[in-house]
Amino acid sequence: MMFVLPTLEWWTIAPVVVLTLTGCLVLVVDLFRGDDASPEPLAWLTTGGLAIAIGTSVSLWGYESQAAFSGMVVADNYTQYFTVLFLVIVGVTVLLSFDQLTREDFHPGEFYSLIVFSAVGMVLMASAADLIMVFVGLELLSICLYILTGFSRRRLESEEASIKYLLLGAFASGFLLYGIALVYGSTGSTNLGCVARAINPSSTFAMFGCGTGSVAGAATSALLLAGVAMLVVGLGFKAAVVPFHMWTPDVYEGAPTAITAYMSVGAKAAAFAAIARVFMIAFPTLSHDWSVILAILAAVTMIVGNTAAVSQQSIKRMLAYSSIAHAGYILVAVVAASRVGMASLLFYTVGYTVMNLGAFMVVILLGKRSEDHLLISDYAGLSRRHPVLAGLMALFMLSLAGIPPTVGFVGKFYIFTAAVQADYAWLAVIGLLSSVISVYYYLRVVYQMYMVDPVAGVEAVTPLRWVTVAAGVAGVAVIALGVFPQGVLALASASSTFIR
Amino acid sequence: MDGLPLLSIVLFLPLAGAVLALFVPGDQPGTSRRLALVVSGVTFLVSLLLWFGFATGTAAFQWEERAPWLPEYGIGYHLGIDGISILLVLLTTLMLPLVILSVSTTITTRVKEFSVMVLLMETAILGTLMALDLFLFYIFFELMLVPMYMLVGIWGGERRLQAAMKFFLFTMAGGVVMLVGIIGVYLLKGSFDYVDVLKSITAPGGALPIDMQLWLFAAFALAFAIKVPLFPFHAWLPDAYSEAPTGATVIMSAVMVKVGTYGFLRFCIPLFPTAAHDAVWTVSVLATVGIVYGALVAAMQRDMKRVVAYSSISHIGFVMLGLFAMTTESLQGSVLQMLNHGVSTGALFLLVGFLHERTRTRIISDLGGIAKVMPIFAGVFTLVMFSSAGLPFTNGFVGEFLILTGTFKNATDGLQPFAIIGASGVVLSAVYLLWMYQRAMQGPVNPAFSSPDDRPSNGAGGRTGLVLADLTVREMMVLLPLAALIIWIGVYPRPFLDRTAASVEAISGRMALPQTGVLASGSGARVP
Repeated sequence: MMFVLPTLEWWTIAPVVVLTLTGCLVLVVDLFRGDDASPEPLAWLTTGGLAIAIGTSVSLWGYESQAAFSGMVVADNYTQYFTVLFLVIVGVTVLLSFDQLTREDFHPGEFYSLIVFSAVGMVLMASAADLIMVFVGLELLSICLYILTGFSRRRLESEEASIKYLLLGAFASGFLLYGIALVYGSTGSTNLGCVARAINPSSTFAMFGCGTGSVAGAATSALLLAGVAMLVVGLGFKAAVVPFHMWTPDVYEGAPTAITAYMSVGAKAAAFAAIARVFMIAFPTLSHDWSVILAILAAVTMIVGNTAAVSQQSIKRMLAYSSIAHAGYILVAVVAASRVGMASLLFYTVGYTVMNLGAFMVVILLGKRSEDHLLISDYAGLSRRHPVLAGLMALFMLSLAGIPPTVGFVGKFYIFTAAVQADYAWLAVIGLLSSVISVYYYLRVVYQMYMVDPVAGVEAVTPLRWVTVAAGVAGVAVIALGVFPQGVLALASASSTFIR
Repeated sequence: MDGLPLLSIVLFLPLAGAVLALFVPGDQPGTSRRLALVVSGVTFLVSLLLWFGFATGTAAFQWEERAPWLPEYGIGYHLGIDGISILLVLLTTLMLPLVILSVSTTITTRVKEFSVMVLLMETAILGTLMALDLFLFYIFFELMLVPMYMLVGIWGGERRLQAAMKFFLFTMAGGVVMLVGIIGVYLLKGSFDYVDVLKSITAPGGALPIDMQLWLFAAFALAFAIKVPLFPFHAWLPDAYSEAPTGATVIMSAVMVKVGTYGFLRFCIPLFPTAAHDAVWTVSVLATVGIVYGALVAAMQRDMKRVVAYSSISHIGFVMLGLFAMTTESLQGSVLQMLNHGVSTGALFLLVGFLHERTRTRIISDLGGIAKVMPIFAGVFTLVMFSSAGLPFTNGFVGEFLILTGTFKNATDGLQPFAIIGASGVVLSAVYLLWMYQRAMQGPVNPAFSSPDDRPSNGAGGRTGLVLADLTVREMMVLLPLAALIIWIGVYPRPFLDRTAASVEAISGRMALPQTGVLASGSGARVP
C-alpha cells in the first residue's frame, strides 16, 4: 500500500510560525536575564515579532488559497484580515500593559510569551477549516487567558477571576468538544466543507479541503442539531453571549486592565471569527434552524447587556456589560447570514476594537496606583483637569453608543442594514432600541466628566506618554472611520468572499 | 458665485470655527466668545447670498452639490435647498449669532466649551436642513443631540441633568426607529438619495405598497413627532426648555424643533403620500389637542419661562395642522409659521432671559410693574407678545391666518372643525400672554425692584433692592433684527411667500394627485 505524505504548505501558516518562534525566543531570552532587569527588551522583542507576523500576513493577502495541512487550515483574505486585527490588538496590549507590568512586578518573560501564544490561538481560530482546529485554537487562547487573568498575583480579585474563568471555561470547552463529537457522529467528518457536503450534497466547498470522495452521514438528524446547539454554547461562552456571559463582569473586573482590554476585543473577535466561519461554511443549509436561535440569543444579549450595564458603578464592570451588548450586535451580523452581513461583522469588529481599546486606554491612564479599578464617579470633573483625555473618553463613549459621525454608528448601521435585508427588521428594532438604553450609561461617564465638579483626592493621571498618543490615534480613527469607512469596508467585503 | 460650493461653505464654517475654538486656551473666554460670534456672523453674511440669489418660481433644488460618499450603498454627499428649507436656513444662521451675543453676561464659565458646542450645533442643524440624502440627514439629525445635551447639562438649572438625559433619550429613541425606516426605504428603492427616491416614488406605478408606506411613515413620523413635539410626545420639552440656559432654550425652540416640522414636510408627506393622507385625521386631532392643551397649561404656569415653553407647544400645533391640511394656503402658512415661531418664541425666551438676569426670578407673582422700571423692555415685549398672539401687522397673523384658511378650505377631509377649534387657540394665546403681561409688567412695582433713575436720597421711592436697568445696547442689538422681522413679515410677507410658493405648490399638487378631483376641488390646490 502506498503511503502518501501529506504536503505541508508551510507558507499558509507563516504568521503562526513567526509568532510561535517569537514566543519561544522570548522565553529563551528571558532565561539569560537578571531577575530585576528591565522588561523593555522583551517588550521590543515581542513587538518586533508581531511586526514581522503582520508583514507576512499582509503579504499573504489576496490568495484565494486552498485549504492546507489536509484541510485543517485555510489562508484566505478572511484569515489575514483577522490575523492583522489580532496582532495589532496584541501590540496595543503590550503597550498598555507595560506600566502595570513594571509596577506590579509581573514576570515579563511569561507574560509576553503567553500573550504571543494566545495570539497563535486566535489566528488558528480565524484560519480553521476544521472543527478540531477551532477547538485547538480556542483552547490555546483560553489557557493563556486563564493565566493572564490571574497575573496580578498580589490581588485576590485577580486570582478569583482566574479560577472562575478557568472552571467555567473548561465547562464550555467540554460543550464545544461534545458538540464537535456529535457533528462528527452525524456527518462523518469534522472538516467544515465536508460537514456542509454531508448535510447537503450539492454544496461544494472545495477550498475547505474536503475531497471529492463520498461522505457518509445523515442529513439533518436530531444528533446533528444537538451538536450545533452545543457548538453555540461553547463558542458563545468565549464571545460572552447571554446566557453564557456570567463570567464576564467578574473576570473583566479582576483581570489586569490591559488584559481586560485584550479579552474584550481580541478574544471576542476570535470567537466571532470562528462562529461566523463555522456557521456560514458548515451549516449554511441549516440556517433557518440556527439563525432563529441565534437571533433570539442576539436579542437577549443586547437587552441584558445594556440593561445590566445601567446600574454599574465600576467602569470596568460597566465596560464588561457593554462588551456583552456589543457581542449581541455582532451576533446580529451572523444572523443575517449573508455576504453583506459578513462584511458588516468584519467592519464592526474593527470599529469596536478601536473604540473599546480607546476607552480602556483612558481607563488605564486614570487608573489609581493602589487599586486597579475605577469607579465611574472618579471621573467627576475630568474635563477641568484633563480636557483632552475627557474629550477622547467622551468620543469613545459616544461611539460605543452609536452616535454619528463615529465608527460605532457606521458599524451599527451596516449590521442593522444587513439584518433588515435578511428580513430581521424586528431584530434591528430591538437592537437599536436597546442601544438607546446604552446611551444612558455611556452618557453617565460624559456627565461625570463634564457636569460634576471634581472630587478631591482622586489621583492625577499616570503619565504614560505613549498610551496617551495611542488614545489620540484611536480618537482620530473613531472619527475618520466614521466619516470615511470605505477603505476598511472594502477590505471587509474582500474578506467575506468565501460566502456564496 | 457659480462653481462656489455655497452650501458647503455655510454648512462647514461653524464646524471649522468649532475646531478652531478647541485650540483657544481655556483661560481666554473673551477670545472664544469673539471667535464664535465672528464665525457665526460671517456664516450669516454668507447665507445672505443664498437669500438674494434664490430663484423664485421653481420647485427645483438650488445650489445642489453632489459627491459620491459610500457608492456601494447608494449614499452620497448631496446638499441642496428649495423653498421649504431656505427660510429655515436663514433663520438658523440669523439666530445663532444673536444667541451668542445674548449670552455674554450669563454664560461666564467654560466659555470655550460653550462656543464649541454652539457652533457644532449650528452645523448639525444646517446639515439637517440642507441634506438631500437620507443617510446624511440622519447623521446630522443625531449629531444635534450631543451639543444640546452638553448645553443643557453643563449650563442648565437645578434639574439640568434629568432634563438633558430625558431630552437625549426621547429624541434618540425616535431617531433610531427612523433609522430602521430609512434602511427600509433604501432596501425598497435601492438608494439613500432623496431626489432619486422621490423621483422613483412619484413615477407612475412607483409608489410604495400601502402597508409598507404605513410602517415607514410611522417610523419617520415618530422621530419627527418627538422632535416637534406633537402632543402627546412632548414630555421632554417643558423640562428641557425650562432647565436649559436661555441660549440653549432659544436654539431649541427657535430652530431645533423646526427640524421636526421640516422633516414631516420634506420626508413624511412626499415619500409616503398615501399613508400621510391616511394620517390626516390623526395628526389633525393631535395638533388641535396640542394647540388647546398647550394654551391651557401655559395659562396655569407660575414661571414665565414655562409659560413660553407651553405656548411653544401650542403654536407648533398650528404648523402641524397646516402641514397635514395639505392645501397650498395651509402649507404656505405652515412654512412661514415655522419661521415666525422661531422669531417670536426665540425673542420671547430671550426677553424672559434678560429679565431673569436682572430680577433673578421668573415667577410671575414675584414680578410686577416691570413696565414702569424698564419701559423699553416692556415695549419690545409687547411687540413680541402681539406677534406670538397673532395680531394683524405682525408676522404671527399672516402665518396663522393662512394656516386656518387653508385648513378650513380642506372640506373633503372634513377639516373645518379643526380650523375652528384651532382658531380658539389664537384667542387663548392672547389670553395667557396678556394675563402674564398684566401681572408681570403692570400694576404696582414690586418693592424689591427699583429703577436706576430713582433718586436714592429722598427716602420713600428711592432705590431699594435690585436695581433693574433697561435693555442695554447689546441686548437691543439682539432684539432689533427679530423685531424688524416681526413687522416686515407682518406688513409685507411677499418676499418670503414668493420664495416658498413653488416648492409648496409642488407638494400640494402632488398630494392632490392620488385623489384627483376629491382633494383638489375643495382645496384650491393647483393640479398640474
